[in-house]
Amino acid sequence: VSEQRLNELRGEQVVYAIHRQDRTFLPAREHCPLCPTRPGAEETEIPFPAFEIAVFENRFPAFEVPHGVAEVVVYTDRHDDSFGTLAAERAEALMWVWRERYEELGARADVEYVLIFENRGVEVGVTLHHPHGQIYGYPFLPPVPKLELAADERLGGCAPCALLARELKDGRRIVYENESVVAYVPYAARWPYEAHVVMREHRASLLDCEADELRLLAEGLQALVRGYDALFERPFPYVMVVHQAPTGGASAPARPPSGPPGSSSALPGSPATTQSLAPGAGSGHLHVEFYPPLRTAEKLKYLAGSEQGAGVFIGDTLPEQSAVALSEAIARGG
Amino acid sequence: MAFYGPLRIERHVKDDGRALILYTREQAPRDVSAPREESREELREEKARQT
Repeated sequence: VSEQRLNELRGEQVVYAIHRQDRTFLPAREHCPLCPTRPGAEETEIPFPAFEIAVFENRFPAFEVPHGVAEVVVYTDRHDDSFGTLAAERAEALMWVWRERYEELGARADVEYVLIFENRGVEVGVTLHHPHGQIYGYPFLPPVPKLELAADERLGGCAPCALLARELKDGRRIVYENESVVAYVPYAARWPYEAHVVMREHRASLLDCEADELRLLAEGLQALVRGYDALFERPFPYVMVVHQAPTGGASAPARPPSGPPGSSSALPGSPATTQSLAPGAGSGHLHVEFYPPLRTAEKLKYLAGSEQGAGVFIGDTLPEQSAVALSEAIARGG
Repeated sequence: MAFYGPLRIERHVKDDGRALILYTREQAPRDVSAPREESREELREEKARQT
């Protein structure tokens, strides 16, 4: 059972899940718990000989009912694939899986915020190589979405909408565009090759997206990840996080007064679009942030004294320089 | 078995009681809102009661 404590100095919750100390750690591929169960072989987490996408409750959860949830999302039954190498149809299906989990978990009374993420590479602490992501349903609103809502207030509207407009106007840090998403290295990126994939239209969550937008989101995410892999011609480690509207009762945001263009055509009936919410609250804006730890092909960016002690990132590369390199890599990655 | 957009969903319970959900892509996307609206409303009401 996890224990939650408030770190008073930081004003942050800390979760202790001491049972996770014993979780499976970089097993040999023949003992991969995320592979399908082969006939006559040891049973894995997925007791079927084949599957497309599987979701299950984490055996070593950071959060457990009735205080949240932790799930594992397995992208494929092929051990050596990655998000970037999935067939386009599978990547698109994954967007629908994310959407379905966001909807179901977000409707739970013990879940205030649904975080969908992927850790890729041992550099960011991956313990299983089989392509997969995770979903945490937090029983409280975590600091980062709180900061995003505060940014909405500071900027007087949807912050990601405003920042996207600035990036499009400037243009130097854009690395990828399609009809529904724009990817860019942010003006004040904290990581050398940080990138954000942002919905062009205001969409509070996956629930507000039309089917074509989900397809194009998958397309944009895969283009970026393939570009990352092409950047240094090696599998590129990253943390990928889907940012969406909070789902909790009191903390859940309202759709902004302006409303998203074309909102009448968004898929109807979602909790995020129908809750009655606090006046002045932000809305969230669906975007996916990547935090890659590499600053060169072989050197990592560490969170050291300034980053951890003062909360100030010191960059070695200007975002404009990173964007040029990443754009070229995306073109090479295909 | 249930459907969600282009997905067919099979829900299982593992031997230790944990949930396992398998998703399979179908050819044509379905309307996700209509068949799920009632259950979603129930969940929202339940969540409101608990909070």
